[in-house]
Amino acid sequence: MKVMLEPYLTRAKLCIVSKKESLADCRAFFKGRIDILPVDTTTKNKILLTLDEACANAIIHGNCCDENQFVTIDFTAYKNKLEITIKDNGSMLVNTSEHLDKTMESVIKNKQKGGMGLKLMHSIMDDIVYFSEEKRNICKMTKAY
Amino acid sequence: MKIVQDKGEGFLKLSIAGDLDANSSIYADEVIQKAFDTKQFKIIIDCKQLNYISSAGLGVFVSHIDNFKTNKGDLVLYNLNNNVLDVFKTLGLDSILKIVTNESDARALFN
Repeated sequence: MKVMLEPYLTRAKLCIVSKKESLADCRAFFKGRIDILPVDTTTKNKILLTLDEACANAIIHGNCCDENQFVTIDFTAYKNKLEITIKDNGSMLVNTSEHLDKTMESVIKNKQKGGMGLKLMHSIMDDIVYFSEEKRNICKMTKAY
Repeated sequence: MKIVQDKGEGFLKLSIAGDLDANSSIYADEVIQKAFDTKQFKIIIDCKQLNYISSAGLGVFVSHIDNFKTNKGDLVLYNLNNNVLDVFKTLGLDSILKIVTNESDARALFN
């Protein structure tokens, strides 16, 4: 049997120390890879934002900013779709609807500093799935173009 | 990220440069909280050199805005580049927060 592998434009895997200071390096690393995607500048910026939001969640909520832990990012851009998988060492249950259902007016009223990242991510990507596997949180995101 | 503070007549101007993300937003939050604590309720924020903003950066403004408004002040943002403005627009915050084109428009809101 011959297995046909889908050709990809670019593929990269990055492992970062679980601290907020890593976020800028992570953005710098993936910016060049996102720049080659066949999408407009606005979409490229939004994809970079999504990646940053997901990594921030992994560092802050998944690994609780434990600098002894790591976050790994798997980035595969095919000709017509992008797949990003982010793994941390936590085991939290993500209640997406709790965040997605909130209005901005209620966020302001409650003086919330957080809780908007998931909303941004879902407005950009086609599909975002969270699950736990072998004591790791996994966030898998896809976007077609 | 860097924040330069200039005290004007009846308002405080904050010029933000660099990236406002989950890391740097802690510092930005402290600066705005300090302005509030020292009763400087009318704040204009120059975003000309703000290259990037994430939800944590948005959270800095969103979490404080009510406190300033309650004290007859406000946070007015201006000179946003398209990339940064687009993040506000994605969540509909461009119609909730005060965002204007330039400094004179921002100052005019406090006159």
